Amino acid sequence: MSDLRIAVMVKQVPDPNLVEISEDGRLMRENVPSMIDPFGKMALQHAITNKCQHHVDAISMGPMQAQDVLRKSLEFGADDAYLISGREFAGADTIATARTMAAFLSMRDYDLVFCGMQATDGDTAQVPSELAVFLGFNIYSYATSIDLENMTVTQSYERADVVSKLSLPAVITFMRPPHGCVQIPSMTDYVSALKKEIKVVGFADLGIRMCDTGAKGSRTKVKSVSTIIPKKKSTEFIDGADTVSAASAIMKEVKG
Amino acid sequence: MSNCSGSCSTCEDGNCSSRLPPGMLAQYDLEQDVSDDILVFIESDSDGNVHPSVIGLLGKARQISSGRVFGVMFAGAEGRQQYDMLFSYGIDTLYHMRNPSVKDFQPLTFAEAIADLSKRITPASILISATPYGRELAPLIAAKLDTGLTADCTRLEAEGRRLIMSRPALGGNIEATIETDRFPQMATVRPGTFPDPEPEVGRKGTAISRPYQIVSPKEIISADVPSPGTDIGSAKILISLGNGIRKRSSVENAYRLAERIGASVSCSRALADKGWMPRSAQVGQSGKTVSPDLYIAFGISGAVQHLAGLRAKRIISVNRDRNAPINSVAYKAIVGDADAILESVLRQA
Repeated sequence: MSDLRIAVMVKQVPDPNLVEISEDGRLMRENVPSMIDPFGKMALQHAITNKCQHHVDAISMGPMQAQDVLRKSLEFGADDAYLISGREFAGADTIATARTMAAFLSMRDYDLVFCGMQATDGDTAQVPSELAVFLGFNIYSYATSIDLENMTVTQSYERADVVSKLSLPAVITFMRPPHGCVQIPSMTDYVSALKKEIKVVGFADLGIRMCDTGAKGSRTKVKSVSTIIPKKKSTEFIDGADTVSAASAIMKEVKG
Repeated sequence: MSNCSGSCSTCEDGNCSSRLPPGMLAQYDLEQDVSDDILVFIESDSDGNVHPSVIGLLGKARQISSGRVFGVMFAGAEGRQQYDMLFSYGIDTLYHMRNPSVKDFQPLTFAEAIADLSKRITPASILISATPYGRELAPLIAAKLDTGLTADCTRLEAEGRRLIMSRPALGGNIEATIETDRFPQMATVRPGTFPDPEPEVGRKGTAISRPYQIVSPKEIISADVPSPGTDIGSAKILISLGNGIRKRSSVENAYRLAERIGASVSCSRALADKGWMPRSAQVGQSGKTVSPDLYIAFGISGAVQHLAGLRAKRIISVNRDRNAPINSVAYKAIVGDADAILESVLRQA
């Protein structure tokens, strides 16, 4: 198929080792070094690798500083970039996030929505499926590859790699980069990216209700957050043993 | 039921109260729109083989439910053979969803059927194993029911019908406790989080067969089921390889050893990235959660992301680096060359 319209959802995530948590359990994203979520980046790579005559938009939802990940996406070869941003969206859980994104996506008539299988800050993997319901799209999670010429998708489930016919419109989540592909932005992409404008979409542009987005539209509430202190286990060290006796120690455990 | 839509299979005439299956009506308080019951998704293949993670989940549901425990299973006629087993682990009413033309996992169809069932039986909570299927399915149901869903819970408690869910976040550095402000409350639970309960042999329950409609069918071309030794989710012994493995022949040695001792072979992200091991064998935050009795880690340093997927009873680590993080959670830590020691274990096995 040609001339498909593809939206790639990319997320700016804080460096997991440097993030702080506010007292009401929200992530304090300000002033924390951040990066493009690695799974979202994989989704972008799949979109760019399969681009041909397709149109690829990079879309993010977050504070204004999330423009950085969209700038990167343009450098990688995305055609246009949109940032859904506004105070009204703050504190959204997965369902409020998906509703907000769906409000934007449904205005723009996409055939495919690409996401990472999860984002490394929340790890919930919930937004894509919820997005599919709100958009009325099909869902293909844990994709490892897609073929937009023959319209097939391969998903990696626990016990099987499943190849299905790709029925449009659909949300696809990716769990690995395209096979054998390392995309490096070309100089032309880089220069043309600089000229492009990142369009910012606010609450008033979406036509959704206050009670459907942000903290008000959320169906879950974080009650408390605590730091996990790893349980200390007493480890028996076997140090300086020769290979054979080390191996015997393992076999002893196997035999129980 | 006060809000019956008349769309369910058991009431073709749209008058539920006279057509409810035996044993169902007595439990309902018609004044109340939510019951105290918990609905558990019984993941199975179409032959009715139940996913091992379901048993621990049923144990937990039984423990925290102040009402009944419902199960919903999509399987063919073979599913009947599982009834007694499922009742023995605490199910009171099992909804056996039947549609002869469905052979595979159909996310949108199953989600629609479970959402319909939920509207009808109004459980306080819905619990689903956080397997790949479960993690795809649960948010579809949550969106259809417009309710809150908490992913990958590692702790579940209840105060009456309120569910208090806890999960690790940010690479396992923090634990967040989450509540949902509407019913049904939904959670997915990491496989292997809760221990399997003792079965109560001879315990009785009700099974109800229900047909369901197919919506937006997924057309499956092929499903490549992996060979033995590669099912890491339910393995009792796992041989796991990490970046400390320098020789490619060690991968083959690991599979040969696995065959001899009845184990499966898994890996850390580094080896999957290298292409030495399939992604399906990867343990950790971006891979699978495993809960073997014995986890033999060859050359795995034990980054937080890897440990996030590890719920082993005993860990033996083999590592050149005495200070590798995995050694702090290991029960035995062997300091030495992973490739050489693996080869030597294979010779002794």
